[in-house]
Amino acid sequence: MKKVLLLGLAFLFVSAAAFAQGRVVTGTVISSDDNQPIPGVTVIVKGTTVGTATDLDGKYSLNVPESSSVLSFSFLGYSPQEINIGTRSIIDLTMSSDMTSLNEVIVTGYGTQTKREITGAVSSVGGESIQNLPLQSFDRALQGRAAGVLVQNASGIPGGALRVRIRGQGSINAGNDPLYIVDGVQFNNADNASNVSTNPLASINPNDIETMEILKDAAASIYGSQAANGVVIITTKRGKKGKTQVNFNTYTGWVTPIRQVEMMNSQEFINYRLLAFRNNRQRFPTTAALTNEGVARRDALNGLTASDWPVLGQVGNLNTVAGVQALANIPESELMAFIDGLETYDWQNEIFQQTGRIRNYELSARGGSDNTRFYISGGYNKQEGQIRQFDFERANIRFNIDHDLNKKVTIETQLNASTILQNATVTGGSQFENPTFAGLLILPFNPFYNSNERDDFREPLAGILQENPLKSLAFNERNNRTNQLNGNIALNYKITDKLRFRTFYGLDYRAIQENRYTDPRTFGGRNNAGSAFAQYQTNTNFITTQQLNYSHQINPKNRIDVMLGAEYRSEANEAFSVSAQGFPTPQFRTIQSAAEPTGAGGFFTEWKNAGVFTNVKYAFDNKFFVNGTLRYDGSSRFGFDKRWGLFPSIGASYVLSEEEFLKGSSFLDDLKIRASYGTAGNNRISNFASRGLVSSAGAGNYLNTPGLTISGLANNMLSWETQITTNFGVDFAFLEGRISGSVDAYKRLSTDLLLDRSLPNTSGYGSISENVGELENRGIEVALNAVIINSGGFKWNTAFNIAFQDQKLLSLFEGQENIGTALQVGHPLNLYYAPRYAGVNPATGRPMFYDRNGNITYQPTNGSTIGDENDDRVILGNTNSDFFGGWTHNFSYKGFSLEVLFQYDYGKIGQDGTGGFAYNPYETRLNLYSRLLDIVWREPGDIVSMPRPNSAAEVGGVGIGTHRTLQDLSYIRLKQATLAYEVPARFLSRYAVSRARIYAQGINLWTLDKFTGLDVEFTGGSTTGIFPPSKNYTVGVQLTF
Amino acid sequence: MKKIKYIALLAGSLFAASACSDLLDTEPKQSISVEGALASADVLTGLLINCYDDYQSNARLGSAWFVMPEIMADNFTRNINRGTFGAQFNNTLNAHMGAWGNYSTMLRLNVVIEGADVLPPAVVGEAYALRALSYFYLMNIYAYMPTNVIADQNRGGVPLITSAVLDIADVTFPARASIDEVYDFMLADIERAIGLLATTGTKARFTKASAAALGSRIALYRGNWSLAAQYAEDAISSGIARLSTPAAYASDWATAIHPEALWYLEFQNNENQGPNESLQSIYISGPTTLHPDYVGNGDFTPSLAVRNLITANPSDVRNGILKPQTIVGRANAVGTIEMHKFQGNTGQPNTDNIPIFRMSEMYLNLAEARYHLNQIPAAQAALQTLKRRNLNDAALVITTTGADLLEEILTERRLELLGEGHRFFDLKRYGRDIDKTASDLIGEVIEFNDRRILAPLPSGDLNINPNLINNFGY
Repeated sequence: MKKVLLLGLAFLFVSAAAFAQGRVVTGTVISSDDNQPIPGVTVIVKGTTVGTATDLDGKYSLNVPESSSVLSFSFLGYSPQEINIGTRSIIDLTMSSDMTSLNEVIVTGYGTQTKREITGAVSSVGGESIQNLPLQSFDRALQGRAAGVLVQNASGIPGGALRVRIRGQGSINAGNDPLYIVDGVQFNNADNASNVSTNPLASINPNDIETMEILKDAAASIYGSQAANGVVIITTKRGKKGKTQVNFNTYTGWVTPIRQVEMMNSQEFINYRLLAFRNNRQRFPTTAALTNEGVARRDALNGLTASDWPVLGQVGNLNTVAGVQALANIPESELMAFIDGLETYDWQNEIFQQTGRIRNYELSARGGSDNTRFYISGGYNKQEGQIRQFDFERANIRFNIDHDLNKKVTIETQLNASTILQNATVTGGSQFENPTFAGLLILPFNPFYNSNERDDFREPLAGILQENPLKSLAFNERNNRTNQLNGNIALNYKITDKLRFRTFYGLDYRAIQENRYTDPRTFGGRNNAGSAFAQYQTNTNFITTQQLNYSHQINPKNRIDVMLGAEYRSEANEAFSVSAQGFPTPQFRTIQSAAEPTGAGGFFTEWKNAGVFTNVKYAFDNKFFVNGTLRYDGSSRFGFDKRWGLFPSIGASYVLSEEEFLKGSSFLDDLKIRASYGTAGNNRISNFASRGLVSSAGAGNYLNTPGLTISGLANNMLSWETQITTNFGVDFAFLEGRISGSVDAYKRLSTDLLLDRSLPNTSGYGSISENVGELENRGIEVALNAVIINSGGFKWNTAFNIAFQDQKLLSLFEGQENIGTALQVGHPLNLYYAPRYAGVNPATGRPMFYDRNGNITYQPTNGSTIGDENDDRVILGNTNSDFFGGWTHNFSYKGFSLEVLFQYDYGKIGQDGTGGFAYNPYETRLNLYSRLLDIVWREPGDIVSMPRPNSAAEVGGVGIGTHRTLQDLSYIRLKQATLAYEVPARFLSRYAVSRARIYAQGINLWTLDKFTGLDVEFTGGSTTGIFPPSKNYTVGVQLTF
Repeated sequence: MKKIKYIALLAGSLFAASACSDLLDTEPKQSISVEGALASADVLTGLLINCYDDYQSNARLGSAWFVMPEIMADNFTRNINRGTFGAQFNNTLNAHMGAWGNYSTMLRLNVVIEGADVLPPAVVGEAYALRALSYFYLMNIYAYMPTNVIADQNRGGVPLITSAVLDIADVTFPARASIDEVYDFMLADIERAIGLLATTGTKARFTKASAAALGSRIALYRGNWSLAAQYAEDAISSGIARLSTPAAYASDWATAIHPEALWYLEFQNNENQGPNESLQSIYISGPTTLHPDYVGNGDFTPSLAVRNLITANPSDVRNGILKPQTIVGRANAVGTIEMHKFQGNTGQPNTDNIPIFRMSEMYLNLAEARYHLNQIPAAQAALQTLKRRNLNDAALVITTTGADLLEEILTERRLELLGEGHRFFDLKRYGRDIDKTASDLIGEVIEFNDRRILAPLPSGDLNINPNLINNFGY
């Protein structure tokens, strides 16, 4: 897999002329990966200096002295082999790639290194392991595959945003996303769209990716003020010398919901509500019993009218005592008969009814001549969601071309152009039209339609959720068109054999066009005859890097490499938008048809970054390595008085297995220890955070006169958050590579945390940002690979990774012990802090809590500060994982292979946001989880977990629902299963096909968890109305010509 | 040798590029740096304009301060159509009105006042009037009214911020000023405002007459009866507004600029208040004269007691703004009586130009102030003018005296200013309990000494400002 990269570095052996008498041995060397020839393999007659290298077709020819009997083959990234010549004159060889070898080449900051040289913690994910996954962006594929990299859904919509955290959350208020670098261009991965959750990384076709490397510790320091959250380096496929390979690739599939939540039916719901309101009326013991019953009945039947039940029209005005008493006088049996006769409409099922389709087509060609190499590809991907109106469609083309101008100058270019169209509707909140929220909570007796006509939607609906989401889905529009171009050009100039110069220019340009149309027929559009919003946004990100590399082999044992570089990056984000309302009919759906413009907006923001850096590497005897980096980095985001900072790092590694005392071991193949220490900055603060500004943005106008506001106090000392990382690691391989892996232990100390110092609001300001505070993340990461069985053609490989993390907030402002309740010094971030729930009093059904002394109380209090004598709250847990990771198995036999990936996450807790409404004994104007029926208190003696139903919380006090609704979010999920068949070459030869692979694949097939909501995979602490991920099934074919 | 020179040059130019500091210069486009900006009259005027916008918001005079003082008292019944403002209607502890955001408006007002040198006097006058208004609502919500202070439970007024904070060093941690200090400050602002404001100009911004109207209400709340009467008379005699006629009483509410308005908040079409919190939607669920297809929430409708007082006299012009809901399927049942003061008078649903000070209030202020000054005939005369219009009876004569006269004035105030955010404060001024035991309110009696009469101070400021003391019982 690394051979493309290696090609340029391949050591082409120049054979010494052999005059001795001998014989000629010829042959072809091919790779076990793809049965393609490997050019540049070194072939040496063992014990001599006689040798050669394979040509473009993998062929070699060698004059072997009579006295010699062994040929040795070696190539970077492949296991070296020694072959007895015997009497043969033709020796063909298949070389297998050497996954565990320390000679594997890895992309690091501004260069490449062999695994042997690396002194820091770097995870590598090969492009082939994410090949053909029905995922729109590569970051999603890191989930479970790289130790210590936590990937969570910010939204499950196809192509939606993700949250990636490398080694935990290192910042409270600045960003926590890693720096993404695609072929040398630093990407902006911010989801800037307002309509639909977008992911700029989705512009890259994952199948174009050669490797992904994750720099987790001081290895990232060379990126200076941007490196604190780690760096993800993406390298796309490049051309290689040799016959052109054409690849055709297609898959198709289906998308379904992972699960649905069981909700109450109409009878269960109304009876429950009746019980709740009856219980509630017990608050008024002096009111006439008849009135209480009547009010309870009236409120329980709220939303039903005389057309549902004629009695409601006959009893008179239900806002009067006479009316409610008349209602109370209706016999209970008559009421029950009415309730029993109500229909139930399963809104969730109606909304989640779609089976979405997935389609993907790709064609790529890869090859090259002596001085030009190319990789070109084009792809089309479309994935629909499990709910109507949600989809993702991408077309992209890529040209990666390298050209050797002469022996000294090489030009590299990469260009990727993509266009993405995403349709969606409102998600991620408690909005009326959000289908994943309203779909669960709409009252079950509301019909979908008024008649059999499918466009005669019922609206307004009874209950709080009056808007019919089916109608909004059918009539409204919300889409994003993202056109993205990323490319770069680099020129490498070999000044001397030791000194090289590289100049690099990259561009990441993105235009997002957003359209939103609220149909005049819908709930949101009926009062203003429909409305529309359009926004055009561009993001222009330019980067240039200049590099000088000097490499000097001082003597056979000592080598030194020095790199000097300078970099400049500027990024501007600009938009304009317009909104309008008043459409003549629903057929007119674009903004120019609107009667009245209601707003015009826009924004502009930019930032710049500049830095100079150096990297000095020293190698001794191929077993001891030292690697130092230093970057002087400045950013326009920082205050005038503190713009530039210095970020050093140092690392060392020692390959113990090169030492004589271990070299003889038949058990141990590789053993290496390493240590690193370095600082990095986090510049992910808003572009003008340090400035005191008079601003028009967000300032209100009055009488069509523009208003201005004063946005914040200036802070000229505002600067980066500093992170100091220490890492110790061991890499090992035993039993001829059957078992290999690495273990890393780290400490990330984040200092100068950007915190908002609260100001009294009486000053007119809310807060000012300052650099104080310290946070520590510590952890251990283990990655293990093993070949469990390899015999009789059957092979079982496994790869396992696990990351343990611990976090502690060390300090805030001097004397400050907490920010809100979620941040407390001495504890991890994102705490849940509330009174501990003590269950339900079996006699009364009232919820009970433990007070600060461990005694039962009905009304917990929070005192005036955390931990004071009136504070009944305790820390209940936090949203961080204790450990997480993935476990992959690969089984192969003959042409068949099966790959399964389990991904797991343990120890975090959180709330079912939608369940906060639906899993609550107090709310009665939204539908409820049916599991509630079995666990609420109904009569004295019931020992249950939920209090008695009531229309309002039974007790006052702080956070009374919090502990009750907290859930264990641990899970293990069968993330991926792929069954593939490699068609034997003998069937293919007559079709000019060199390789054919067919496969079936499933994503998110099975989950073990305890969560009550739609899906357990989400970011942060609560899920209210988020769009859940889906279950996907695909089948595909991959052909190479 | 040549090669080395070449390399040195190359390397040198690389690093020189990053050494110059203007490499990182950036300037925002929709903002400008504070330094220097505040010497510009245009910038200062922009800051002032934004203060009006603050008061338009649904959290302030756009909706909350009109609805909450009504529903937290006894003027409206709740139709449980949805959750909005339910906690305020039930007088749930901690669910109250809020005005602390006025301090962010005050920052801008103080900046404008300190920049008076470069500004036309009228703009500075507006800033003074808006500052008085800002303190007025803070006091109404967080402090006892000067006319009825429970000494044991009194924690004072609100912090007085009298100068602009433009540097971190200027940030203070103020204690609450006394009630009298804040009232003195407000009335001084009113006096300054009146001295600077113009007599004419749009009624959507402060003028001399509307500053006097605000002054009249502040003085009335303070119990400074002579000042209240004086300002009320100034406002009445200003000539910029007039009482509605009996015939046009209902239809005047449907006009874009209410003829009675001394100051109103004007809403443009792009300032739609939305279907959730607009006054129209909160009070009305069904069709209105201006919008026959209107669909609102109709959360709160006039209580039985209020309706009885109005319907008792069929010639009461206010029967014209109490209308039964007529369409099946709206949030409120057919026949539910809804209050049609706010019905989208801009021509767009959910968007009303809201009169903040009306002529009717000035007559009520005048009558009440004269009563307390023991100028009974003058009090009767002021009330009589208003009631002749309200009951459409040009021959009506007010004869009541003593406590009965005060009750008559207060009852008329309750009915005339229905739905306009007065009732809770009027009960509070007189130290009266809130009786919600009526059958359509189905609640309790909230006694005047209950802690819920005052709102709790925001915990954010309490946590970081040790000098700030919360209200009694919180």
